[in-house]
Amino acid sequence: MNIHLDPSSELQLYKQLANQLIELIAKGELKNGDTLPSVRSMAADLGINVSTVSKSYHELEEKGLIELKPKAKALIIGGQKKELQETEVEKVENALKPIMAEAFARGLEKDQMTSLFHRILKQWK
Amino acid sequence: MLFIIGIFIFVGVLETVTPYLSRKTTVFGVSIPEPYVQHQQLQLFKKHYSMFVGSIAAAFLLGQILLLLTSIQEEKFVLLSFIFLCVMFLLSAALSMSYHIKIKKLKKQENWEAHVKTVYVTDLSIRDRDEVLSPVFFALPIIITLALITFTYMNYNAIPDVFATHWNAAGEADGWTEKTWISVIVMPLILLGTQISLFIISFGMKSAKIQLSAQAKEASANRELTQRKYGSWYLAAINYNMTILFVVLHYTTVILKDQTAPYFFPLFIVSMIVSLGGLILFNWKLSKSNERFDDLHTNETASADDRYWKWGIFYSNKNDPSLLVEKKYGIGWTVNMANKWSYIILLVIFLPILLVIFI
Repeated sequence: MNIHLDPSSELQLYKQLANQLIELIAKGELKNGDTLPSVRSMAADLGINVSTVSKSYHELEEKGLIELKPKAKALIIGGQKKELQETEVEKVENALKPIMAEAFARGLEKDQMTSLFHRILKQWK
Repeated sequence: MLFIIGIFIFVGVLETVTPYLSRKTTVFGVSIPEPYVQHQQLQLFKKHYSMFVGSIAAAFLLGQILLLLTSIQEEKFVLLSFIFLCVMFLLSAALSMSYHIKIKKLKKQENWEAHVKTVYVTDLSIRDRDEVLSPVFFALPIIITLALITFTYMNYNAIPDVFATHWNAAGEADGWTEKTWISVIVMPLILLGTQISLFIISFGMKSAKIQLSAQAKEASANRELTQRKYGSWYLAAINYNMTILFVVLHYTTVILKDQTAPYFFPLFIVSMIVSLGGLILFNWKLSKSNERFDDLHTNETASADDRYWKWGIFYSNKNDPSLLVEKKYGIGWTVNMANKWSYIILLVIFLPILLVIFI
């Protein structure tokens, strides 16, 4: 369950951390009911600012993937198979559409896009 | 006197090999970016230090043996050995400080920072694999001491008005103390102070940060876990060792009213051997688990925390919630000065000493 943040990437650190945590949840390495290290110990182990980690955790909370309670460790609540609400599906579609449109506009074939899709999905089982 | 020579040899060897006990990514308290770990100059610095400190220790040892051949008094011999030991400490400290400065300079001159790519790494499962002893193990000796104090007061009337508090090597009393409500529990109080600070330290050990390296992640995780596990075991061993020693001594003097304690000196020697033997074992475990960095393939390095260190000795980081941090030079832990608990620890450790001096 490695975390590897690259400060020279154009993606901000907090975003990288959030993305990698989300991916761990998707892969099933972080399961429903697992806890994350406290914000401060995560920051100390990584060697980054407390506020950066806190920002990532809050983003995950907003997305409904973790539960933050004062004086307790962050609890993973994502990763369950459940019926998504119509609005949530729409949200995913809205987020995905511009990325796919951009790829298509830059010349990616539909077949390539589908196989790319499958390849990514395979990582998460 | 052979015992003193034994201790001297032990300390000398330990001082000599210290640079090789630290993590490869810190040399004389300076963080080394991972691609530079094999840098030739660093290996030379370590070698020179060991050769120098090793020869000083050998020379002093020779001096001690020569002294033994003369008809020197034991007290004088002990004093001289102690002076030798202090000089050795000072010289090796000065030497490592000078290498600390040299390496910093080298790092700047060759502009290492510009040639590497710093990344932040950790492993979320590392805390689950952590085997630092639980504070419960450090709470038990405190209970024993509190029981001992209670027991002493329950038997207060039976304690003689003057009781022995100092013995020579043969176990005959050569120092006495008058009985008061304070003086009968001085020894348990000193013990209690040390036990309480070890108890606080045990929490610090558990929460101390775990720094992994970017290119030898599994190896560095192994080393960190080994250092934490056996480090806490060692502190617990010292704690129990000391507790047994103090309890036996207190019980003999105050409760049994024994003026001679023939078994105490052998017990003390055994306890010294356990402490020093434990330290050797701990070091051996650590050196076996050290990272190797044999195959470095990128210019990545894990972020270093040098800016929170002063001279590679004092650590102060407000961002770090933990009380303790792994030492940058040598092995073991040091306190995080930005954590207010660290002052409480220092106070608890030094309070008995201050009390003894000023009261």
